[in-house]
Amino acid sequence: MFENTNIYLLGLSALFAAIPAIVWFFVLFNKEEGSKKTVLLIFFLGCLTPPILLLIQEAWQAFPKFNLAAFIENTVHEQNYQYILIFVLFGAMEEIIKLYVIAAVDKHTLLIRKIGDAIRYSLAAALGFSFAENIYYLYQFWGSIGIGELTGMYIFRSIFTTCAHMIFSGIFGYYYGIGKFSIDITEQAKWKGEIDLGTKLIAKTFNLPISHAFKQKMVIKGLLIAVTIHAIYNFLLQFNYVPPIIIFVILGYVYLQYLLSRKAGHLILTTDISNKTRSTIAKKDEEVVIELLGMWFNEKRYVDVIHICERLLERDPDNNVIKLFKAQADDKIEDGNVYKKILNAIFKSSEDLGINDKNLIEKYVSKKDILSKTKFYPKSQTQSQAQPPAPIVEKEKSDKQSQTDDSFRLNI
Amino acid sequence: MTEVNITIEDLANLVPGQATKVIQISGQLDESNVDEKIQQVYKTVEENPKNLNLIFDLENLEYMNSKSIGYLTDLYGKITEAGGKVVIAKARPNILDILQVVGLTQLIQAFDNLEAAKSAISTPAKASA
Repeated sequence: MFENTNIYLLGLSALFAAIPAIVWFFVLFNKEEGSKKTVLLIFFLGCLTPPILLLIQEAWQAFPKFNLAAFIENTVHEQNYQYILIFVLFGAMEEIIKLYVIAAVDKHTLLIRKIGDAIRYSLAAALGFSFAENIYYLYQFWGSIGIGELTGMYIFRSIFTTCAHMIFSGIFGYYYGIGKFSIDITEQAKWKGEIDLGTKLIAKTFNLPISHAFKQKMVIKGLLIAVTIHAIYNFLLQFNYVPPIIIFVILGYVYLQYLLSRKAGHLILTTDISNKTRSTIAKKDEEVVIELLGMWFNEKRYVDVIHICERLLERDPDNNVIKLFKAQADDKIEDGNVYKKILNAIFKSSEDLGINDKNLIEKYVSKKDILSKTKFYPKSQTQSQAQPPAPIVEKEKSDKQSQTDDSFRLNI
Repeated sequence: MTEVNITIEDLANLVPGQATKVIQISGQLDESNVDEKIQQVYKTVEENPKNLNLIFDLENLEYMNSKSIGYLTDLYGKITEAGGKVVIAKARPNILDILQVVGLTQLIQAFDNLEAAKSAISTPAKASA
């Protein structure tokens, strides 16, 4: 396999392939908080994945009985279907191996602490994959095609193919991340009444807990989406449909940035049980409030949801379900997100967002504030008549200011 | 169905020219009964479209679910928009805790005795600076 390798040409190919990898790395990870070392490690592990795929193809030559590509070629004779199936096969192999890198490292270390981590590391693995693949293509075609054609291929692969790989992997990573935190996410979904039929079906068929079934569903969904768009991309590439490819990649990149910008993706969902702060609200009472959060979230009362979450998190700071409600409500009323605006403009999806009449508590509190500033006592009333009794909460508030124990803090 | 009982007492002369009712709720307000039982309160609101004052006496209310909180918020809106007042009296600590976390005590004053609640209804609102 390596006996005729031209080491100088390989080095030169690696040098050229490194340029876009460095640029992309800078674009994606320069502003990121946290260790760049881990991202680099995942990048280098990602570099190893194309050679593994090449080895699998070599193995197919040695053991033709297991050659899936040959099986498709021999079984399906209509050329377009054959292309599609081959692209699905290679797309699936590439996506699985890229994500396997993340899953394997995550299994042994606490790599993924939030959904956004799963996306970022998937991008790093995809960048590594693409870097190695670009070396391979440059090396293969150097000298065998004209310099203009080679330059065109180099530029196209550096921008579009590399970006496309990151889109496929980033989306798969996103679903993998959701699956990883399935316990908290299914718990929240339960309160929103959003446990879907598919998850219930998987749970029933394989006798799994709902959270486990949801995890399996998310991984399968992520893989299917990644493989489908990978196959579509390759299909478009096969027939040189360049304008759709460009649109496809730009939209995919915007979608990826949108996923990365979601506040729910920035939540640290791994919890060290030994450091977990004990809740100061009774479980049954907390459940009533969380049930209300689910109800009002579905009614799009996002401002009320955020305020309740803030008060509830003062009482139970490590509750991931409450954190998820708050982050998702924040995401819903976030109207300055440029990526969301672009996607909404293209796909004409508009949602009734922001502070509105649905947020009843917020509305009434604002109204009460305005009224209290404009209402005055009638002049004829005496001071004693005008003095209303202090409500319990206000009394407790003033009592608590003098107490040292702040275990029952309220944000009123 | 869980047991819950709602009784409505009329305090005719508390505020001259205004209807004032004490709503006593005892037992547990949950999914099995809240939709049906709360209709009594809504009926009172319909019968008194203007300047209705409600005192929720929650001394014997052991549990309220999320829907009950939704109804309480809705009732507060309806009554205050029609010039009335809503207060809570004698709520148990667990009920008060829930209402505080939800933020309803920012809107509805809660008192530990009925006399204070009545006094709050009969006293004009305090102006802030």
